[in-house]
Amino acid sequence: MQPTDSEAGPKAGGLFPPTMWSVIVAAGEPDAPAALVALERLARAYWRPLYVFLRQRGSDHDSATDHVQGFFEHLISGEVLRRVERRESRFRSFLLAVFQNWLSHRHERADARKRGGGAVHVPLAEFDSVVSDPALAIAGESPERIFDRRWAREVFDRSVARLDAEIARMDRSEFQAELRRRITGPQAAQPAWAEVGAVHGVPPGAVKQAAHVLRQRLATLLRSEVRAVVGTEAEVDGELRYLIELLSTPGNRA
Amino acid sequence: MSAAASRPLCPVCDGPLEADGPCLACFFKDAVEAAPSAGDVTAPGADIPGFASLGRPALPAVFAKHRLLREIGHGGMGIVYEAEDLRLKRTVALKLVRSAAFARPEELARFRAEAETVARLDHPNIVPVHEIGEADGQQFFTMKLMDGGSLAERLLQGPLPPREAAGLLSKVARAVHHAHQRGVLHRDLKPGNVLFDAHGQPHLTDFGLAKLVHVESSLTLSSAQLGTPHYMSPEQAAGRVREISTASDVWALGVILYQSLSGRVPFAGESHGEIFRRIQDEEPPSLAGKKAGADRSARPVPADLSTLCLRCLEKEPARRPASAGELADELDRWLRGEPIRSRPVTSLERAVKWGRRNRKLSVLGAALLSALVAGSVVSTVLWRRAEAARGLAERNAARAVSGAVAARAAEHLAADNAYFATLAQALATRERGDLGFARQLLAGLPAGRRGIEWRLLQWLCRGDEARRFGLADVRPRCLAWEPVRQRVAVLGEDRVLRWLDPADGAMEAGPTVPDRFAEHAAVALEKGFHELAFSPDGRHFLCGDGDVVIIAETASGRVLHSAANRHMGGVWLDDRRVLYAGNTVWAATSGEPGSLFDVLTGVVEKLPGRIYAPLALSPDRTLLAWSRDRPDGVRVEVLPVPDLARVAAAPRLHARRFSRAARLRAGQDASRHGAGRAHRPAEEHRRVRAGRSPAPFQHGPGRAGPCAGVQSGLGRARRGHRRPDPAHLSPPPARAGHADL
Repeated sequence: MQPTDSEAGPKAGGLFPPTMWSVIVAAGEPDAPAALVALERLARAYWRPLYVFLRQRGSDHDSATDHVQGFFEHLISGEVLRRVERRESRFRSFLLAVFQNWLSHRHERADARKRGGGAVHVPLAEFDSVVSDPALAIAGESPERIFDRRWAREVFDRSVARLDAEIARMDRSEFQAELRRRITGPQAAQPAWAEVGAVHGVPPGAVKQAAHVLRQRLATLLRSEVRAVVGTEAEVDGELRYLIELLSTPGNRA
Repeated sequence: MSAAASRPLCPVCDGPLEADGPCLACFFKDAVEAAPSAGDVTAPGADIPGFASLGRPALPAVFAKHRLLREIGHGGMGIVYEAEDLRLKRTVALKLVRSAAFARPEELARFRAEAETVARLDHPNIVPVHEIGEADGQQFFTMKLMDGGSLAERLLQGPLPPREAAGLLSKVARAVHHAHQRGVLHRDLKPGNVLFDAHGQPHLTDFGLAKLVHVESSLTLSSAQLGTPHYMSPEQAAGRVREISTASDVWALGVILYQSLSGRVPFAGESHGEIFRRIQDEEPPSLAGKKAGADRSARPVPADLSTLCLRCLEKEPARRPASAGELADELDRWLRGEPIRSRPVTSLERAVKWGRRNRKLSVLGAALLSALVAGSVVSTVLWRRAEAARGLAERNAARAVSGAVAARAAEHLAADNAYFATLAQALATRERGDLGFARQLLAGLPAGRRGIEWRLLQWLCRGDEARRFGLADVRPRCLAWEPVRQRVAVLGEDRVLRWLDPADGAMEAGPTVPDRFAEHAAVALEKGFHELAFSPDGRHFLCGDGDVVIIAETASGRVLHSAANRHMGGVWLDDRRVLYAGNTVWAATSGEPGSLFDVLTGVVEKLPGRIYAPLALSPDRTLLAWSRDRPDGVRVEVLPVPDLARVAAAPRLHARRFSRAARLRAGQDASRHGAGRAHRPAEEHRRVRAGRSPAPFQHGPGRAGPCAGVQSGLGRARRGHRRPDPAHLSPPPARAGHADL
């Protein structure tokens, strides 16, 4: 007795709507414009891990910048979308694999800028801001693992940025922003809630409660950020587990 | 430079912190448990057409032949929806179980097995499970929909009237008891899991599932994900997962009763850690006579209900009501206006409990307490026994015609109570898995008093595969096997050497090792025992105490010798000789070489070669490994034990005198004359006569040098003698009488 099943709203991925990555994977058409735009924007959001990966492999700042920019050119050519295989379940591993592939065949292509592509996808000023990235100082680990670490950090930073955007629309956003800074700051383990409360005129218990709510919200955003770049709902937990394991082992830093 | 050394670690998970502060691993762990994202405008890719709605199912959605209508709630376990069963046209609650709960296939299998057991529970106060299934790789189950809210919501409006609280808890306790009888523990009883139907009847939900989510999954063990800790029993709070039993659920029922009556939980705190500590260490404040909440018009909490709460909140599981059913019986008795059988916790009992947790402080008060116990008829006993005891006391009191009779009766009763108290303690000890200590407790009960219950418990305490022996108050610093009687020697922090019989766990106190720290304070640092080694005949032992090494007689504890250096270590070469040395790094700076001590002669021979701890002797005592300081660095060296003589003596006495030819000659000489005992060196005789100690290794043919004896000793060892013949190694004839070790 199945007729009712046809009433299901979204089909792919079962109960939950498809993830952004699964939509890209399922686009099929090499020049599906929405999927292309999505892929390029998603990749652009994650350019920092690519840059760190290159630097860790020994490139200098300028050539790393060039390569990352050139890679985005390549992404929107549509060629990549055709190469997306359905077995690629995580955007993270897909992006790095395609990037490495592109690097190794780069000599066969004309340099992006010579070809006249030249569109700057990431402002150069942003590239300059990443030269002091702590991930660049990690030593004794493979560039691939450092890529994953930087990836985790990117996911975290994006979630925090989204939380900050939400906070900006909240009541008492100054108070909330202060809480957010303390939650993610160096004193996260011993936050002085009473102090915050005194400054903003909020009882310590309420400060604690608000901080808890904020932390929960950040967790939700993190989950949603991870969800966007894996294939199915079930893979969210697998990806989170992988990242937790990665982050729990101390990386060697020079 | 390693990160561990230079970067701060997260106080929660011990992982490395980011340079700017946050512990990413902790945040990602939170995300494992987080609710799925609400499809809001900040969703990833929200600025990309067509992707704004990503993140959570658009309702109504159809899933596994159910139409999901609205989200009722979410938590650690997953999301709960109100759903319409499309086949049976009924409204149910559908719970999607988080896939994070099942890292491995066997965990999934266990979840299904347990969920099926729960589905078979059939009780009017347990939310019936309709269906367990999987669709799209997602585990789910459906339950009867309860639309009357939860007890947690009800309690937000304040405490319940006592009669209502008692009636409610009686029903809930019966439901718990029903599940216990079928082998299902709830493990996560809390007001949020008590749901009301449309008629206001309470129903328990989420049976047994908490364990799958909270205990079995390693990722969910961080305190952030444990949910509310207020209802955890001390055994759960201490993480003693194996001790979680029906009594843990009884504890949680006690907390719910307490909260229902008073509007607050018995153990509150600012943090999980503080709550856990209070749960384990503090007694809950009594409710008797107190007004519930801040409401002055509210009626005070009846004393009997307060008693029941406190009885459920006993730290020791064995002292709580024996079952949830018994708690329900008590509540029903109270509702019917009958006296309850539980006894209030007396102040004396509180004192005893305090003393148990603060043993050191209470030692002084113990004498006073025992006098009180003897004098007072109502003493600290097994609570169930107490009722009978009280009855007996009352009968005795009624019958008492003289003070003497009453005193005798009291005495008898006190002894009886002590017996049952010890039994209860043994039972609790056994539940902790400490069979050895339980047996000790049982063995300590008077033979004449032992009844069937004693025999049963004794039987239950047998057959412990991994024999575990409680050490009561002993904090062991060193363990070693005593070689002759094959007992475990336990050297405690209190410097007492004790013997643990591995057959029955019996503990026997041996000598106290005297403290020689003061003698060596210039060199040694006080760090406590770190080494214990017995001579092969068990007559002597060596122990490392801080930086002091002590060689003493096993029987008396009399110290024969002590020496100090940094990180001392030692080995017994044979029954009489012990080689000890300081650790390379430290001893090298102090210039103190390794030494040999002879327990018979009391002679200390410093080895001129630099031998440093750690030292290790091969099992057949023929090869010695040690670390040695060389100009080009520290090495581990291995040498046949008899060659130690060369190390010891040669450089000083005979360095230039032994050519290879001479050694060969000596060897031939020794083998020709067997042990070479007849070749007592004239030089040694002279030394002895002159009042000097014989050098321990100068036992070989004299002028041919010690190496002859050494070679011969090694040859003997190779021929199957496990140890060099003591006679062969013996000192001059004047002392030969000691050589028959």
